[in-house]
Amino acid sequence: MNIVTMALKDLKLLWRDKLGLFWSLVFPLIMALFFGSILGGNGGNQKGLKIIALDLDQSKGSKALLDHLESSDSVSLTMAKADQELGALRGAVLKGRYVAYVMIPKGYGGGNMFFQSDSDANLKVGIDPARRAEAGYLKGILAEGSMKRLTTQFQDPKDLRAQIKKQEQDIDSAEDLKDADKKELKSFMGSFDRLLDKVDFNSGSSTSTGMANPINFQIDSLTAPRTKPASAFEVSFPSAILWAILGTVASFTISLVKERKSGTLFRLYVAPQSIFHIVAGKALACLLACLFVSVVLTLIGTLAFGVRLQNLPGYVLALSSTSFCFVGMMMCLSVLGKTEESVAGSSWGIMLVMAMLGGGMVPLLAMPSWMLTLSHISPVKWGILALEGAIWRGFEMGDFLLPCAILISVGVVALMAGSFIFRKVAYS
Amino acid sequence: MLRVEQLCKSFAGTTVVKKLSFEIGAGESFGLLGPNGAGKTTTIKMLVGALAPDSGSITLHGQSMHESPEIRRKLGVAPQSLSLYENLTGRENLVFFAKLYGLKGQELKTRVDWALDLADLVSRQKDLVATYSGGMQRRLNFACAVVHNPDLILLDEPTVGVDPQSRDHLFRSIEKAKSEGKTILYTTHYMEEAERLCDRIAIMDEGSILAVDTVANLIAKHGGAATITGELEEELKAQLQNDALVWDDCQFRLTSHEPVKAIAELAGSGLPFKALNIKQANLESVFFSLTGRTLRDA
Repeated sequence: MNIVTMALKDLKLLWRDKLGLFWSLVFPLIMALFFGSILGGNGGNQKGLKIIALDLDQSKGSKALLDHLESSDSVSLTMAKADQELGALRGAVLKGRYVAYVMIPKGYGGGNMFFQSDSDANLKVGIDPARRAEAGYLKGILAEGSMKRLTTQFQDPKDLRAQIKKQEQDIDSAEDLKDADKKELKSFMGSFDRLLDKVDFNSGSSTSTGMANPINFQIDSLTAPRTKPASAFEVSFPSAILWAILGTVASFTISLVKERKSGTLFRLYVAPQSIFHIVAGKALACLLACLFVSVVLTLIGTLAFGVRLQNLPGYVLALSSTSFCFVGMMMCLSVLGKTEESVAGSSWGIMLVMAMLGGGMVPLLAMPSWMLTLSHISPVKWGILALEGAIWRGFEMGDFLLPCAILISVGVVALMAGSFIFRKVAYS
Repeated sequence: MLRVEQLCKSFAGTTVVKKLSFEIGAGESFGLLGPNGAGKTTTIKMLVGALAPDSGSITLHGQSMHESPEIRRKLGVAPQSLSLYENLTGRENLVFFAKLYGLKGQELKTRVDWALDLADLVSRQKDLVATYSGGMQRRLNFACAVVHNPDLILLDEPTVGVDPQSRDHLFRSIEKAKSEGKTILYTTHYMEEAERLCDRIAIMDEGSILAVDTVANLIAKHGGAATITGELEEELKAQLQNDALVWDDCQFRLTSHEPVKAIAELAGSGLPFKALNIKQANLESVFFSLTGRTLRDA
C-alpha cells in the first residue's frame, strides 16, 4: 500500500513540475514533429504515390486516363510492359516497390457509356486496404480522369454519334432482349441522335452528364507485412517516445537526489517500511510516468500524424520492456552523485550518448552499418527497434523477443545494482 | 522505554559517536545538549534506523530498532532540515506522511486536522509549502512528526532558523505533547531550550556523553559557584576590604556558593556601588566546567 502512496505522491510532484513535464512530454513532441517534418512528414513518399499501371486496352480513352494520372503532382506513374502478367504487378505492390497498381482492362476505352455493367471493362486497383487514405486519393484521381473522358465524349457530337451507332448495333445483336424492348431502345437512340442537332456544344452547358457512378473499380486487396515506414512520422515518433522516457527518467533521477538533499528521504527511511518499499515506490511512479508520456505521444502520432500500430500486443510489450529498462537505469543514475547538479549532469550525459548511439538522433533506418553495429550497446536502440517493430517493421511476436529480452535484462541488472548502491548510501 | 547502550559510529576513520549509553523513561522529556558536531544528529539517525551503528544496541519497549521495522510506527521524527515536499500543500504533506504510518479513513482525516490545528496552519493548508515562511515550515515539520500519534517524539534541533514567535509556538506544542504523556528526545545547542523543555539532560561533546541528570542536579554538581560582579569609583576601592575580590580596574568579581549572603555583606559596607550583580551557575557553566569551553565557542 505504501508503494502506491509513494508512487502517487511522486506522480503528483512530477505533474506540478512544469519544467519536468516539458522535458517529458513537450520536448519529445517537438522532436517528433521537427524530425518528422524535415524527413518528409506525411509526404514520406516524396515523389508522390508510386503507381504502376498496366494498359491492356491501349485505346484513346485508356491513354487519356493514364495522361490524367501522370499529370497529377502526387502520382509517380510507372508503365508496365503490355505483356506483363497481373501477378507481377501484385508482387511489386506486395514487396512495397509501389503503393498500388492500376490495370486498365481491354474494352475500357470503347466501353458502353450509356449502359455500364460489372463487366471486365472495370478498372482494377490493387492496394493494401490499410492504406485507406492513399486508396481514396487514387480512386478520386481515377474517377476524375474517367469523368473527364465522358465529358469529352459528350462534348464531341461525332464521338457521340459513333457511340449511338454502336449502341444500336449492340441492341440489334442482343439475344436476351425482346423485340418490343429493342424497338423502344432504338427509338430512344434515334431521339437522342436528333437531339444532338439542337445542342450547342460550345456553350459548355452539357458538361454535366447526369450519369450516376460513371466508373466502377475492382479493388484487389493486397495485404503484406510492411517493412518500410509509411511516413517519416513513423520513424520520428518511436524516437520521440524514447526521448520522452529519457526525460521522465531524468526528472525522477533528480527527484531522488532532491529528496535526499531536502531530508524527505530521511523521513521515508524512518517510516515503518523497508528500503525495498521506497525503491519500489519510486520505480512504480517512474514506470507509470514513462508509460503515460509514451501513450500520450503514441495517441498524438496515431490520431494526428497517421502513425499506425501494426501490432498492438507487440507495442504493449515493447513499451513495457523499454519503460522497465529505463526505470532500472533511473535507479543506477540516481546514485551517481550527491548533488542535483552532479546527478543531472552525469545522467543527461550518459543518456545523451545512449540516445546518440541508439537512434535517438540519427534514425536507425539511416545509420551506416558501422554505427548500426555500435548501436547494439545502447538500450535506446533496442527500445526504438521494438517500437518500430510494432509500428512499421512488421514484427511478429517472436521478433520482439530479442529486443525485449535485452531491455528487460538491462532493466533488471540496473535496478538491482541501483537499489544495492542506494541501500548502501542510505545506511552510510 | 528507550534504551541506548554502548552506541558507536565512525565515518572514514573518525569516531563521531563513542560508546553512547542512556535511557529514557516513558513520559520523560530528555535533552541532548551539545555544540554543533557533538554527534547529536548522528545519534538521532541511528535511533530511528536511518543509519546503522558500528556497535551497540538500541531498544524501544525492549525491542531492537533494527530488527523490527514495525517498531518505528511508534516513533515520530522532526529532522533538523526541513523535510517537506515543497510542491505539495501543507495538508498533502501531512496526509502523505500519515498514510505511511498506516492511517486511513476517518482517523486519517481527524489526525491531519488535529496536526494542522497544532501547527496553526488551518488557513494555509491548501497552499503549497514553497509559499510558507520559514517559521510555518518548521511548525509543519513538527506536525508531520506527530501526525500519526507516536509514543516517542525525536526532535532534532527543531528551532533552527525560527523567528521568536514560531519558536514560542513550537515550545507550546512540545509542552502540550509532554503534558499528554509523550516521551520526547530533544537535541539542541541552546541551553535555554533544554532548561525549559527537558526533565533530564545529557551534556554531549565530541561524540560522548559527559554528564546526565536533571538541570538542577547538573548545576549543583558541575555548575560551580555563583559569580558576583560590581563596580566602584577608583578612590573608594581601598575602602572595600575583601581578599576574595578579583579586581580589573574599577570592576571586581567574586565567586561564592552563597551568593545572597556575599552580596548582603558587600551591600553592608555602605559604599555607593556603581553596579552590583549576581550571576547564578547555569548549563553554560556546567558545559564550561566539563569541557573547558563555552557552548558558543565549541
